Amino acid sequence: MAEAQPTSITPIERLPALLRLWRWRYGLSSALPGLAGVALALMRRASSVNADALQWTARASLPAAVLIALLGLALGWWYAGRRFAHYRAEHHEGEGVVLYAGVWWRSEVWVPTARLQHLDVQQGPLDRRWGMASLSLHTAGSHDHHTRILGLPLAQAHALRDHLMPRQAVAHE
Amino acid sequence: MSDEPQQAGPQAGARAPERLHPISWLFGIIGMLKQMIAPLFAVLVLGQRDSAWALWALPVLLVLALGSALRARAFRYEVTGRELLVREGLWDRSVRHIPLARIQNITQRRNFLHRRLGVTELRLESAAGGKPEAVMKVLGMAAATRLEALLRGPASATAPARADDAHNPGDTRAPAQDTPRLVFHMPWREVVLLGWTSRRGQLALAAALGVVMPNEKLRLWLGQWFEGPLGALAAVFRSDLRNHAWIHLLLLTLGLLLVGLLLLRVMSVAMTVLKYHRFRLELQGERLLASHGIGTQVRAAVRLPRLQRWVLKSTWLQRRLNRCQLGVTVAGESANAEKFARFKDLAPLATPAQAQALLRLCLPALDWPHLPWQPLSEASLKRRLLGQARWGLPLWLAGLGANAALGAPLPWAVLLVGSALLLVAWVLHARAWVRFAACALDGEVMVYRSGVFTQRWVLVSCRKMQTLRLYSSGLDRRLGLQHLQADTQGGRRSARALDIPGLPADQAQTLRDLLWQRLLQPQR
Repeated sequence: MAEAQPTSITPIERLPALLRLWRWRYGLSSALPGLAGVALALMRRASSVNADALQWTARASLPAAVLIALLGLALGWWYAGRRFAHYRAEHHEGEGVVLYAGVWWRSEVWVPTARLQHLDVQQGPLDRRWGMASLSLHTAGSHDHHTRILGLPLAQAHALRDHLMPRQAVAHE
Repeated sequence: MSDEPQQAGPQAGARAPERLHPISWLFGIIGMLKQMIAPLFAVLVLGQRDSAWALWALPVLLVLALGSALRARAFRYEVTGRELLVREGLWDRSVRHIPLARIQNITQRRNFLHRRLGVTELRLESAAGGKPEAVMKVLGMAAATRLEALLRGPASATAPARADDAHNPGDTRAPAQDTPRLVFHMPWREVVLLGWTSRRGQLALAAALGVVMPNEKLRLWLGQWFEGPLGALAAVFRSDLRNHAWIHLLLLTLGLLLVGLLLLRVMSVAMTVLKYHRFRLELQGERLLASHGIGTQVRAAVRLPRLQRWVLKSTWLQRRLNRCQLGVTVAGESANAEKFARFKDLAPLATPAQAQALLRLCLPALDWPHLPWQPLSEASLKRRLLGQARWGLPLWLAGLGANAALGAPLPWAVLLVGSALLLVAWVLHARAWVRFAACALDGEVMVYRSGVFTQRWVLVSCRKMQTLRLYSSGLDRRLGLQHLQADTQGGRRSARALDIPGLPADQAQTLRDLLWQRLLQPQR
């Protein structure tokens, strides 16, 4: 990368709680098909009177479903780790914000401070519990008008918002 | 119907609050009826023939009409210093203060009825896009001209920089210099040619069939109409087949195809003439005014700095005729705005020289003949083939599978030869695409060209870019490629203003860095 300019680049902190959140989110959502299978197998077992009458396929269905659920969980867990490893944001002082994200489809979004229209700080219930917040950068563009930086410490999110806030004097064409 | 009474002078007249034209209630009701036309049509044509609904609908309609008339009467506007004040509403009144500098796009629309009554619909848009700031429905022509002049005055005075390079040095508010200068127009022949080379007719036919076919009643009705001629035609075909009159059959088929194509073309021409008749593009100070249309006359005005992105496009047929088309994206005009209000053609059909002249007008610094074209990476051919094979291969396998499952209606030899030809055509197409695709950064403008049969050049001014984006899939990274993307205001939400695929990774980073530097320079 061309880092010849004398601008100071500060990485924006991301909390490990973001990794925890993603691990649970991706782990649980990719375990969902397996979990549904487990529920079906259990229901089937409960509805039949004696377990000996079950065919071997029905008997094998429960362990298989559990295995699929565990595999899904592991896959989601791994994916969250990969995503967290590649996820980072940088603040280029006086220029803008750069966000690196993605695992297979990677992107690098460059948002100049001068184009910012407004900024939001958002916190979900889990975010509040872990002192985490996300900062949304809005530009006037029609396609990529919304860029979101996740997993900031709340205090830094507010500080960054105040720092990036568009000045009144800047005339927008 | 005459225009509303003129007051002392343009300045004095604008100071007092003005009303809409007295006939406005009529257009209010027409607008309302237009919104209800789909349900009305559904009831009248498709519903049961029960007239009781009319009794219920009539009072409701009357109340709505009265409301619309009263709303039109309550509407007031006035220009005070640097603001436009709009008061509207019956119960919940609102006063809007719109700074004149924020009004970016002005559109006038006149359909047949407007013209008969000497009125016009005026629509004012700000940079925000989406809903217009104010819609004056309707104004007398004199009042509209007066208001437009007032709105234009301060805006062109506050931005003198662009007026200088827009061939109008010393542009002040003096009315003598403010007369529009014609920069492009389409004579009658060109409009017909545009219709002849466009697919408007096919699209309209497809849309009509899409409406008619799902509806059983309409389909039956259509069937009754075409039963006689189609039956006769089928009889002729059958007798030809029976008598082995091959030449007659061949001539008949070809003739029918030709007549069909001709009809579609004529339809295209007629539709194009309706829309683009007397297309004129004028430059007034730093405002571009476009007007066109027979049925509904549209006159749109945008300020030059509002233009974000230019697309020069030329289909295979247009290149044979030495023509191209120049479209433009304007900030503050989102795609969900009504169609007529969009300013999107600088030249629906022009010679390349004319298109170049228009581009020079908008981007004076652009040096088109000496653009420093950078081709895409060698690897982007592989990228394109692999990317398309992802969809093509399953489709091809499905085709083979279907042929096998149906007991080979197509002989395997034919299928094999066809597939081989398709493969060759596919690879040749991809190679031609990669050979033509290139990008160039010239001063303030980023240009990207692509296409095989339809070639297009996308031009984006660096200062108009909002965000930059580098993007790569796993396949891209393996081949050392990056996409360079940029976003601007206006245009479709579904696509980015600029998307250059298949650049070598280091070159993409260099370009991104150059664009970033230009983007950081303070805007005018």
